[in-house]
Amino acid sequence: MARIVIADDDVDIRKLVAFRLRRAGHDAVVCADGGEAIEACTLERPDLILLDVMMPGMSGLDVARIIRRDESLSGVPIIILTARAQESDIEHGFEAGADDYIVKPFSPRELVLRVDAVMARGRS
Amino acid sequence: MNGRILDGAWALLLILGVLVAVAFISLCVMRLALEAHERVDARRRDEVREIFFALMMGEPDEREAARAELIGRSGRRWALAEDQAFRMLPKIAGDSRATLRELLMSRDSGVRAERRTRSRSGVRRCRGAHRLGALGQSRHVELLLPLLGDRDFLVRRTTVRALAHIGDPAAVGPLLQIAPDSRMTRDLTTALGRIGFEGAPTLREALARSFGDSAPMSPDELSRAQVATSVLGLIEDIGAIDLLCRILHADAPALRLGAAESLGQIGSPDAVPALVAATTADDPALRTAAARALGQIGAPEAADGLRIAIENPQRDTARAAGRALIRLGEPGLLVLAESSAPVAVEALAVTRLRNSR
Repeated sequence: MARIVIADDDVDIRKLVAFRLRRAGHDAVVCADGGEAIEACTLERPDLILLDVMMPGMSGLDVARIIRRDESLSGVPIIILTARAQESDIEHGFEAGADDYIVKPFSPRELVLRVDAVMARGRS
Repeated sequence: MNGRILDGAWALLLILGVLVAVAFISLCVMRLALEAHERVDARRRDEVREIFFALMMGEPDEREAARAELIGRSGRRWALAEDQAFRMLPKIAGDSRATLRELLMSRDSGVRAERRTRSRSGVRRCRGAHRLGALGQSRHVELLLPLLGDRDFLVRRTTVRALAHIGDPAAVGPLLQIAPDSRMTRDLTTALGRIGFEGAPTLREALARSFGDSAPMSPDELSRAQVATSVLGLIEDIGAIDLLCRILHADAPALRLGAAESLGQIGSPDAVPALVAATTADDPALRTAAARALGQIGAPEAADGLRIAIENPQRDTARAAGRALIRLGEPGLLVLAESSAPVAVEALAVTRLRNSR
């Protein structure tokens, strides 16, 4: 079981992701914006972070950059959830420190597979 | 006399005070009622959301129970569930989306949405179009197409987005017809881009027809041609390269510019000779766009062609050529090193500085 922080300002998406990940045996911590996500990451010490790009206040990319600069969190895998599938958007995600990206709309089943794959990669 | 006036003023003040107090209390009550309503609404939404999650992602017995619960709903309870389903539908993909869509179709949501598209109310027509789009059924395209000519701008825009969701290439031709409305350009380009490759033959055909006509293009034709040009680049349609290369010689400056940008987006070396030729065109904006496109393509064979552009007296063109040469790697750097143009010296210096970091 892994502890996963989910940050998305869309209540439907964050609850859906949390539901699916809990069903897959993970512990999900949900946040509605970037600030909450930073706080949750500091407190919860997650095994993986799922970040929406467009959030009020601090964007997911900003959160990723901050996490990558934090010594204690810099090794935590980050998956970016984005509605923008342009090559440059994905590039920005990786530049900010993401390990993988999932384009919205996404299949909940695929999401779990990607989460597991990123965590397996992190362990190896 | 004075006493009577004073009494009247006090009475007026008292009435005003009472009115203000009543208004204040009413506002407080209304606010509390609204908050309570929002809380109840959020709780109901949470409940129905959980039922949908169970339907889409639960164990088989949970799925069955959720389906029975949703099928058994009627009136306002079903309206709430239907609304929630339509909110979630565009956000998910795969099996979950198929399950949700199948439930909505079995509850005749498509029929209701279709009815709404014929409503006198613009808001209802918008909602009908949005829901038909979310259901993603090709058979609804025919129903949506007349709404592209709706009197209400918001209905037209929602219809464009709905057709994008459905993604049926049959909508490409009718969508292009609304290109002259400049408020729609962004949505239209996104919609046609979303329909993708399957719509490319129609786009190419429309563009070739407008361009091939010996008569000058009307403003409407020009708008359509511009949108088609831009979308062909967006979807990186290799089949459009020859046509776009010819359009680099079009009379309309905006169309020439669009063609150069699209060729850069497509990124095929086949466009290099035409783009190199365009770097010496009379139109300075085209020269710059062509140089930029050559950089995007990044083919080494463009290096020689950019040798002239880097010497161009127009600074924008020369700088675009300089940046393009850097992107070409070794062959481009060699051309920069051989050139004495100020822009070449500047580009090389910047590159060295970057590499030294």
